[in-house]
Amino acid sequence: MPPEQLAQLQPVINGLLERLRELTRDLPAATEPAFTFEPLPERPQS
Amino acid sequence: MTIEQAGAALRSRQISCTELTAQALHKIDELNPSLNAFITITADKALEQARQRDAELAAGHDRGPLHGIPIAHKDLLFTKGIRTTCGSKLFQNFVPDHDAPVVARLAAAGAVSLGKLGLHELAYGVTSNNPHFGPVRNPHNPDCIPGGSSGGSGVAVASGMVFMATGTDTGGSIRIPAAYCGTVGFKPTYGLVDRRGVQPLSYTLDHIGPLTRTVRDAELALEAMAGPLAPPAAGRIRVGLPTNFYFDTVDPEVRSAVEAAARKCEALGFALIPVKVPDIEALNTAAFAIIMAEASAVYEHRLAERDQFGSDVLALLETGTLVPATAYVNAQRLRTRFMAEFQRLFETIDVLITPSVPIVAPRIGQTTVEIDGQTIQTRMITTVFVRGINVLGLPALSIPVGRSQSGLPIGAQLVGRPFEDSLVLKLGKALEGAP
Repeated sequence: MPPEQLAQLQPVINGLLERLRELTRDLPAATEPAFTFEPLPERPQS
Repeated sequence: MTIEQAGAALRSRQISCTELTAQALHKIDELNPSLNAFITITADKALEQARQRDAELAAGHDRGPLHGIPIAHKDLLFTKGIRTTCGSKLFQNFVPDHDAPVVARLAAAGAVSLGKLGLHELAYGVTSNNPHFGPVRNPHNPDCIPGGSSGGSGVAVASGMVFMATGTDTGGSIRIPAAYCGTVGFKPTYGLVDRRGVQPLSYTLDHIGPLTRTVRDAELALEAMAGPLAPPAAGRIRVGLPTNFYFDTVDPEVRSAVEAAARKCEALGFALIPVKVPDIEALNTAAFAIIMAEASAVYEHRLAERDQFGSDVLALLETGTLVPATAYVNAQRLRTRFMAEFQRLFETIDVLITPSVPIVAPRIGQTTVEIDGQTIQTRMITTVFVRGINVLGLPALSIPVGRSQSGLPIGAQLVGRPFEDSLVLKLGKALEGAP
């Protein structure tokens, strides 16, 4: 990515990342379910 | 005419599959030059398929409700021997050697495909104002966007070119064009429809579903796409009406139409329950981090080809490369927390009703809207009610619930528990049929 492009985009992403840090700061890492790539429900088998 | 009505006409020999397909092709000839819904029209193949469907019916071989029904596919779904552009210069000459399973399932169900529909470039945006294939236009006002990314799908169904179109939805891309074009659009539960053979945008957020004129038609199409649905649970449906977020920043005409639909639920005998929903702004933050990282992962190897991308999509893809792995993983952890919060919400209700989009279709090129004296970016506000639902994988239906004074459609969103797609459709059918 050209440096001038990076300079324009970095502030945009910084706001998102800061908000995400606020939201995840207190997540209980020791007790939450294990991370999965697709943490979504499985279709019930009939 | 609906899929059910067309099916009845076909079976009573009032019309043939070939005549139905010819009528649809005539409509496309008439309207597509001004609306630009189709990128590729496969008229000869469609007529050949329709003749085969007629021969089958004559021989007593009935493939079911979609037999002989004209449909079309979003040009993100692989179609064997038919160019699949994904609305992008990267794929402008790409001809798949196989059908996506969902395309094959619809063909096996007897549907007749008329071609490939326009979309926002790479399905990464909500306007369908495509720099490579031209803007798709709203049939209710050609100066307005149809929404996106499945813009061509919404237009083709709303304008009567086809009975059903496939769409994909990563952050609202079925429900937004359904709302702006005045059609039904259904994002089923994550994973219900096979995603293979569909160009990905965001692996853990992508969904495939139908856009149709009625909820019953969406149900018929979904069963062809995914297999039979489990019947809805019996009992009085409890409909949740949010007391926070969903009606805070919304066009007054949209608010009024969706509140009227909620009151209609009560009139129909369903329980209407005010509910406080989890923090949707936070949910949307997780959604943005996930889609940006995943979409950039898909296209990272092509990003050096800058002149192959439109400016908005290139900016999104380049921004996504700046999302650290830690942020991506933490967004997925947040996702897990929100799924638990929504699970608790759905202990007290069965379906949540919200506006699909806070506004009606903006004009092509319009970058801001005014709501209650606030100036808001159209791109951001368009997805605010739909994006988070993809993070949760929940089934979500958009149905038309009215028009603005300017004549533009308004949609309401119905959201249910995972794999309770048929319950959401049941409420949609009841609302659609109510006076």
